[in-house]
Amino acid sequence: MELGFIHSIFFGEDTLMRILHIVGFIIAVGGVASIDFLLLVFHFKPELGKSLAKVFPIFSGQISLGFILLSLTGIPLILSRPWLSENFYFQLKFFFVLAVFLNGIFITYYAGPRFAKLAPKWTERTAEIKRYEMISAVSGVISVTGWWGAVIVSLLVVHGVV
Amino acid sequence: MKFKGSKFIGIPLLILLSIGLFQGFAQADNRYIPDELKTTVRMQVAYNDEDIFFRYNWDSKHRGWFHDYLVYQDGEWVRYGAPPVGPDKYGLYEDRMTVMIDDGSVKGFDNFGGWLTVHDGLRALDTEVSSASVQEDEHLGENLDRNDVRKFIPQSRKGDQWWEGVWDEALSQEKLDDLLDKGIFVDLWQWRAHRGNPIGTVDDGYVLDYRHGDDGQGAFTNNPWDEETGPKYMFDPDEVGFAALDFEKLKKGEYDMDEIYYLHEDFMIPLDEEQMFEGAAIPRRPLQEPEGSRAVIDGDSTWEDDQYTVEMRRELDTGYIDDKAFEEGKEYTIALGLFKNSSGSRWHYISYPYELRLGADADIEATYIEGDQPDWNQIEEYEIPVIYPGQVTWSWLTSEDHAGYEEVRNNEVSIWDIHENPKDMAKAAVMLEEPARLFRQPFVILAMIIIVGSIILIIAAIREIKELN
Repeated sequence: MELGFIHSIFFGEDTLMRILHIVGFIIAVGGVASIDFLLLVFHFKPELGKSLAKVFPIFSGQISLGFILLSLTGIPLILSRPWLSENFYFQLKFFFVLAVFLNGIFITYYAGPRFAKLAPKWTERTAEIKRYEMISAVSGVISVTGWWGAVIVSLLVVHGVV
Repeated sequence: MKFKGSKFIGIPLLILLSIGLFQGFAQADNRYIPDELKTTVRMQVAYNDEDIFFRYNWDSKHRGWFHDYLVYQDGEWVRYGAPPVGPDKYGLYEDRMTVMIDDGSVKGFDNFGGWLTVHDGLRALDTEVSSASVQEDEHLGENLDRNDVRKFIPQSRKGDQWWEGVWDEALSQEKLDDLLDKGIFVDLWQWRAHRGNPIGTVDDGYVLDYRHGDDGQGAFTNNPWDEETGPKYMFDPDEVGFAALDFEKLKKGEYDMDEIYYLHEDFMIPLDEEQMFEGAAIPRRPLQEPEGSRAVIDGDSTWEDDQYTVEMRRELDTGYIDDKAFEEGKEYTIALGLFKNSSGSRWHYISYPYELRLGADADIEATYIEGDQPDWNQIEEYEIPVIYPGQVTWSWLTSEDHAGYEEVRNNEVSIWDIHENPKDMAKAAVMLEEPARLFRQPFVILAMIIIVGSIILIIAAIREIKELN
């Protein structure tokens, strides 16, 4: 078995991978937290809607970048612990990850552009805006639950609590 | 909606990725990895003042008592049931239940069990040494007249360190004989569903410089043959009622365990071509009565309700130097090997090493009985996980490619310390054997899809950012 190269990547010390995984998490969750905070501000100052609609794509890019780093480093971490795939809590974590990823697609291709369109007339409180608010609220819950759920489950697994 | 050209990059990328993952990895000729990486053997051990008794039970829907037949087809003879890669296609390779036993004489066996005996160069491994190379080797080729490398213990090889063991560096025969005299070997009992089971015997062998049979005559021999004239012997119709078995029935497993599916010296006669027919099948391995040290273990078995049950019985002390004697209270290490579904050579399931004592507390405690035969309902049953071991060798475990090599070399840890869950060990072994398989895990594939998806999202975000004013 000529496995030296693969072995050194996947079965050697994975400290670097872990650090980069956490960096990816910080970048992604940093973007999510920023959006959440700005949405809180927007709740009290709806006139900022047009400006916020412009900065949201920047945070979306940041979140996607974090996602890529999380995935790139997550792969070798999974590869070095193949048995994790049968662990219920690991599967739960991946469920959260998948949920926030799909939610990200929804936000990028529906919620984001729609917000940009509705933000300038947000104070009018039209039926369309109210409906959009409802949908966005669901998306927001998925985002918060998904990201922090994944973090909590990861910590529990890493520390052997579950 | 800013979704423009990005999907035209992402979708083909996803398709290419999928093709690469599922189709792009060529498999080696000797590569077969079973779907079931772990199974369980239920084991009981008892002893009386003279004998020790082992009983094994495991699930198997397969009727694995057929082995190695010569079949008459289209005017010539064809062999079916040669050692297969993975399960034999026609189910014509025997199932086996084996146990390795050591009494503390073999360094490292208590920590690593059978892994200690598997080294680079062994047959059926990717590192298998060619027959020509083995035949040229002074010990295996010239002394033993072998053409393959099989299990051996490191102590049978030269080397500055106890753990070193290279296949072509065997000690001199004189030194090997000395080790055997001192009891430095692993006893190896093999219940063979075909080559022994029909006549109630278990093949007794040992592992030292090679996987040897014990001294004496084994329970099976050869039926010489060639493609044109066929096998030398066939069944005696006067004894068993037929001259040959039916290949079609063999393939369907239609001969029961208590029927005649094997050839035996008591009922074989020279081949009469006139009695052969299309699909006539003659075993290539006739049975004979074993003798000497090789014949000291009795075996009995049943196959009912999709379960094998195998019993082995041997004297506590046979008096032969190639057998381990059992003493009450003394510590032994045993490791099991299970060959299911007509698989041979390395396509088996093995256990971790277990401590065994007679009448004393241990991982497995043999129960003392008064009579000649155990009442198995009264004997404690142990569930032993057995796993597919992949191609993890002792050579690799002690090499710098293995993260824990120093502890292994120092004999400081056991396989139990490193891989507490045997199934996890099996998975790790499979990943080592076939790295491409690593990338076929669902979560890895999902992660790759997320990467591609995230790239698409970034492209979309960049487009939006570019349009900001």
